[in-house]
Parts: sequence; C-alpha cells; structure tokens
Amino acid sequence: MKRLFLALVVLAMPFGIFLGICEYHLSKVHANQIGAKKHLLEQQNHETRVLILGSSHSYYGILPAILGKPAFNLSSFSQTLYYDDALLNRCLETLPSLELVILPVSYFSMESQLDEGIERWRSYYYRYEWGIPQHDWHMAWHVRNFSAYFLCGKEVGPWNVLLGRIKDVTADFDRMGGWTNRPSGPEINKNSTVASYLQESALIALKRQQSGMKIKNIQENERILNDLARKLARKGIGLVLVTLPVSRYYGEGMDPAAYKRMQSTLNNICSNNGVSYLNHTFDRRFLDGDFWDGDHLNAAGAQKYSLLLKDEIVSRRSATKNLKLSGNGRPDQAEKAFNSLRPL
Amino acid sequence: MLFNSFAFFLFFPVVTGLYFLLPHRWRWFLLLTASCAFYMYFIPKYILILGFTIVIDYIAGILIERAEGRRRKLFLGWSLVANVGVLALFKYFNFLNENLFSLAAFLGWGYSIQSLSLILPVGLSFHTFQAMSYTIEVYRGRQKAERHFGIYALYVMFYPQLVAGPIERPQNLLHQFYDRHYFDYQRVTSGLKLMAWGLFKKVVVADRLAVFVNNVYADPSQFHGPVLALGTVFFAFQIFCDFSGYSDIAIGSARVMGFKLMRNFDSPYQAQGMSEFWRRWHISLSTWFKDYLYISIGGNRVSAPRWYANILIVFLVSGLWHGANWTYVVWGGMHGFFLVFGAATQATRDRVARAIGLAQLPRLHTSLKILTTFLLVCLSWIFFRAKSIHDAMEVCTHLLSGWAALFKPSMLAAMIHGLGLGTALVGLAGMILVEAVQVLQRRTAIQPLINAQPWWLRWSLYYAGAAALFFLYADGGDQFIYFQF
Repeated sequence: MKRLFLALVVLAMPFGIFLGICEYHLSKVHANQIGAKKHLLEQQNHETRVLILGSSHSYYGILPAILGKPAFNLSSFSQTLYYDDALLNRCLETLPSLELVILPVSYFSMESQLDEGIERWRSYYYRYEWGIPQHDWHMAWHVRNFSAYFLCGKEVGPWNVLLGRIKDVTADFDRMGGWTNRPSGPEINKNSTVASYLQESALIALKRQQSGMKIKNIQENERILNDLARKLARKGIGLVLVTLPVSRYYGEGMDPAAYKRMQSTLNNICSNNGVSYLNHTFDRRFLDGDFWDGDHLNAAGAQKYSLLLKDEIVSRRSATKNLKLSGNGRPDQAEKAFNSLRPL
Repeated sequence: MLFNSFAFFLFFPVVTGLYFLLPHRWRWFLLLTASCAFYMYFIPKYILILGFTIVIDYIAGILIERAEGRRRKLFLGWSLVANVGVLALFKYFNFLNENLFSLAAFLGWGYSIQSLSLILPVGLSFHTFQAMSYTIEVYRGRQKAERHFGIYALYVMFYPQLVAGPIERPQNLLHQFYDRHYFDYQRVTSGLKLMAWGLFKKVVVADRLAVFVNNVYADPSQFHGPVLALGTVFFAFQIFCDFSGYSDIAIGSARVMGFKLMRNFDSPYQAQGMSEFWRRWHISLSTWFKDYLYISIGGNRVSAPRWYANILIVFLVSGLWHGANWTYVVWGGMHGFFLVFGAATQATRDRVARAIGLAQLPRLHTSLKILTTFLLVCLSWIFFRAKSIHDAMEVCTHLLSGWAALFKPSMLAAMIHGLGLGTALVGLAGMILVEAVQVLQRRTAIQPLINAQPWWLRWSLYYAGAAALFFLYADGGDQFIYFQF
C-alpha cells in the first residue's frame, strides 16, 4: 500500500504544485465580478445607505452613483431571490448606515431558482466568495466550492493563471459597484435593425428564462421576500420592490398567466408587509433606444432609470418615510392590454 | 453520486481504504453502508423503493427454493410483479396515461386520470433487472437462494454498478462478497488505470462532443444535412464514450477492491453486422434479454416468421427499457428490423458479394460491412437522441439537404458557427484515440503492453493522461446519459 501511496504522490505532485501556484495568484486578485463587488462593498460598508440587489436587469440598469445617496449595486447575472436574501444576510450587520434596500423583482424572479436552471454554475461563485450554501445540496461537494482555480481558472486560461496574468475585474466597476463598461446601444449588424435585434434578443431571453420558471418555486420565493421584509422592518431599513423596464418586444412575449401570478404574489407581499412596489415593466417612457437588448437597459436607459429611481424612491424617502409610489397597483394602458391576453 | 464528481473523488479512497483496513467479516457491512450513501446522494427517500424490492426478492428467493411445483412459479410471479410494478409505476405510468388520454381524445371518449408527479429513481431499470435475474436464476435452479440478507442487499446495491450496470448475474457476483480480497498492487493499479481511462472517455471525449450535439439537437429544424450528420456521428461517439466510460469506472473501481464485473463493451463500432453489434454493445443488457426474454419466448428454435417476431419483440422491449418515449420504441424497432432484414437477406447478400467480386477483396468487404453497420446504428441514434418523433423526423428529412455547402467554406463556416465545434474538436481527437486504443486492444492486451515499457515511457504516459484529465475536462458535464434509464 505504501508503494501505491508513493506512486500516487509522485503522479499528483506536479499538478499539486501547479494548483498551489494558481491558487496563490488567484488569491491576490478578484478574478470574478461577485468577488470584486464583495471587495468594493467591504471598502465602503460604513458609508453605504442604499443597497441594490437583483439580476442582470439591475446590474445593467441601475447606476448607484446617480441615486443621490451613497449606494451600492450588489446585483449580478441571474441572481435569484434566494441569493439576494443570502447576500443581505451576509452583509446586513456590516452596513451600519443602511437605510434602504432596492430589490428588483423581474418577470421570472418569483418562479426561478438559480441552482435549478441552466446557469446553476453561477452559484459556485456565491459559495466560494460569500460562503452562501447552494439551494441544491447536491452541489455542496463540488470542487468549485473550494478552489479558485476550478472556479474560474478555465475561463482565464490555465497558463495565464500559472503565470499570474489575471485581470482584476474590480476595475470594471466604480466604487459603488456600478458597471463602468455599459453598452451604449444594441449590437446591431448590417442585417438587422434596432427593432429586429431587440425582438430577437427578447425572444431568446424569454425562452431561456421561461425554461427555468416553475410554479412550485413561488411559495419559497414568497417566503423569502416576506422574511426579508420583516427582517428589514425590524431594523428600520426600508425595502422597495421594483421591476425594471423591458423592451416592448419582451413585454409582449411574456406569458400573461406567469405575469399575473407574479403581480398577485408581489401585491400580497406588499400588503402584508407595508412594502412599496414600483412596476416599470410597461413604462412607455423607455423606448427602443434605451435598451441594448430585449430586456436590458443600455447606458442612456440606465441613467434615465436611475434618475427616475432617485426621484421616485430615494429623494421621496428622504422627504417622507411613507412612500406613495406612482406605479403601485395602477396598471397603465399597455399593462391593461397585456393582462387581457390569454395565457400562453 | 456521480463518478465524475468531487464527492466521488473523496468517497472512493475513503471507502476503499476502509475496505482493506477492516476485517473480512465487516466488509460487506461497509460496502452496503457506502452503497446506501452513494444511492442516497441522488434522492435520499428513493432508497425506500430499493429497500422494498430487495425485501420482496430476498423472501421470494428463499420461498422459490423451498417450494415445489406450481408454487415456485407463483413466488417467482410475485417477485416479477413487484419489480415490474415498481418499474411500471415510476417509469411507464405517465407514458401510458398520456397515450391513453390522446387515444381517448381521438375517439372522443372522456378520460381524466391525472398523471403522477414522480421523479424517476436513478438507475431503476438497471437494479430492477439485476434483482429480477436473481429470482429467475433461483427459479431455474442455477443459483442457490441467498440467506444472508445483507449480502443479498449488497448484490443489488453494490455501488460501482448500482445505477448504470453492468447488470450482473448472481452466479458471477454473489460469491465474490464471501471471497477474501487482499491488497494487490498490480490489481489495484490496473483498476485505477481503467478508472482513469473511463474518466477520460467521459469528461474529455463525451462531454466535449456533447456541447456540439446538444446545440444541434436542441432545435434540429435550424440545420442542414452536414451539421445534422456531424451532430449524429458525434452523438454516436458521445454515447459510447459516456456509457463505456461509466462501465470502465465501475469495473475499475470494483477491481481495485478485488471484485470482477462483467465486460460491457467490446469495440461496438467495429462490428461487421447488427447481430455482432449487439454482441459488443451493452453486453450485460443484451445477454439479459437473450437469457430471460428471447430464449423464454422460443429464441431461434422456431419457424422463421416466429423467430423474426421474437427478435422484434425483444428489441421493442429493449427500446422501452431505455425510456418511456416513442423515440426509444422506434429506436428498438429499427434495431429489430435491421436484424430481421439482415437475417432474411444474408444468403442473397453473400451471393451478390461473390458475384461482384467483393468476396475476393476481404479487407474492402470488411470495411464496407463495418461502415454500413455504423451508418445504420447512427441512423437509429437519431431517434434515441431526439426529444420527440417530430424532431427525429426533422433530422431524417433534412439529412440529405445542404451538402453543397461542403464546397463553399464560408457557407459551411456559417452553418457551424456558435455550435461549439472548437470544444468538440478536442473531443474528436480523443474519439480517434479511443478508437485507436480499441483497435490495438483487439490485437493485444493494453495494460501488459504498457507495463512492458521502460519506466520513463510508462510515467510519461501516466502524466499525459493525468494532464489530459486535468486540463481538458469539459465544464458542465454533470450527468451520465444512462443514469436516466
């Protein structure tokens, strides 16, 4: 048995050394955006008064720097409510000045779990960087939970990692976690127009998102939101739920039944906990030129939306604790028309 | 637990180390506990289903042995009904229900039985067939009933082959749990090498080819012939490397502890005919069907039409065994048809080969037979891989279109853009290596050949293999295809 042990050690040694060097280099930089945002938040946790969570909709769509108060955007791609809640739990005690949490809830949020969808691999980043256990316990023993090399080494390239040529992605964000490389418009080519590109990308996004939507997830996500609202209320921190604008093509492609379920659940949560909800799904102030794809705002759209949030939430909250929001419970014409559609 | 997971990377050395450290009398208990943990890693509560069939079959085995005359058949019937019943409930109920619903709707009848919201227990078809082979063998008097409940449970649950085979026979496996296994360096390293080879087939070849295949089969209506053909050929090698890789890891991990499991694959794509293909592909299942179904319904000792019907029945059931979907039934039916057609035209084909002089060119003749068999197998894989009959027909009807693109590189590049061909190319290189090793394997035993090389060459090979696993594994390949069966 000693001989076998020795042979295995000799075989594994070069790989162990390689892995050790890679782990060392990766520990010196923030090679992924979740780690980078954590690092940035830790640097200003005493100042932060507004915290923004949510998925790529808020990652692209909300600029913390123009909200008028020290804010931090902790959203990430496909971040579901389970991870919003877990992130808040991890950092709540470290944010003494926190006054307000803006929690974007997208069309798919109430029926999604990151660990069940095609982007479940993202959950390893939360486990590694924040120590958040996966919702699916089967993922607890994955090597990516324990090794920075297996977490992101392949994306960076093994030799780049070995030689320490790793980009620190902290530079991609301003100090408030706002992404600085915002696209200015849709990536169209000679064969497409803005409208056709938005339409096509909206359908692709909806197909992907709807493939992961399951009604059974509503109950747990509703519980998470109720708990989160109560927790924040106990600490005297405000909570506002928002749904960001999406292109009209995306809005038209949504399943009316799923949308109604989402609205009904959110209304329950809001009425049970005295939480405000600002729904901009069908906000016609946002035109095709404000989006860079079917469901994400571009730089101009993000600025427009962030100013709107500033006016409707942050500034008003400063004036009065009792928010009365324009979007809450008052569907506009586009939404009324959508609601009258039959379920898909 | 998956063989290609970090959890198994920790589980295997711990269980194997404890196995050799424990006295012989406790080893069965260790293996049974480890097998339970291995199975419960998927969906813990489903161990109860396994427990139910184990208890039934254990008691049935003893009762069959004690009974005489028709009572033996009665106890065997109980065991088979319990096993097939579990399989029917979890695997086939919804399929049957949906088809009855469609039929009723077509005929205008009212039918309102709800489908069940059940998740198929992993490897159900495998361990059910292994359990059934035990009671059938006891009934046939070829196996004594096992009195030690723990050992019997271990026969069904032995973790290396629990969820995807090889489907063992009691005569081969049960006695091995009583045998004393000592640590033998040569055997242990041979098992570890086989495991590494299986892992290579899975994570480097199958998982990389899967990227291209999944993109093509997600919506086959978008593609023309060259892409569909390439996707199908890639799938042929993906499923081979996926399943034979699993079998290699299963056989290798059992070998490390001193157990010998049956061989499950023998270079199937080098078969010169469909019947030979089935002697080389998933051997443990094809022999199961031969021993317990084909022979039971008369085999080939009947009239020609009945024989053909027997073949078709076996392959239709084999298709259904793979999954409750019409695609699998068609896949099984195609194989049955190929075999029947092959048998019926054998004499004519031989005459034609002699007449055109092909019989005088044995190498060319052999190559043509291998190629034809491979193409027929690929044609059947279309139905196996497609999500529905509609998708499969979509592939079949578009298979001959768009081949002009081969002469227009820009059009060809546009066709395969974004399908993950770059990832698959590494898999393709691995696929060639796997086939080359199989050709070599048919001429000589590989491991003694490697062991005969100078140390520096052997260790270079080991390092190259380890580096391939370490650097070339494909991200996201979490499942083995055959786990769903």
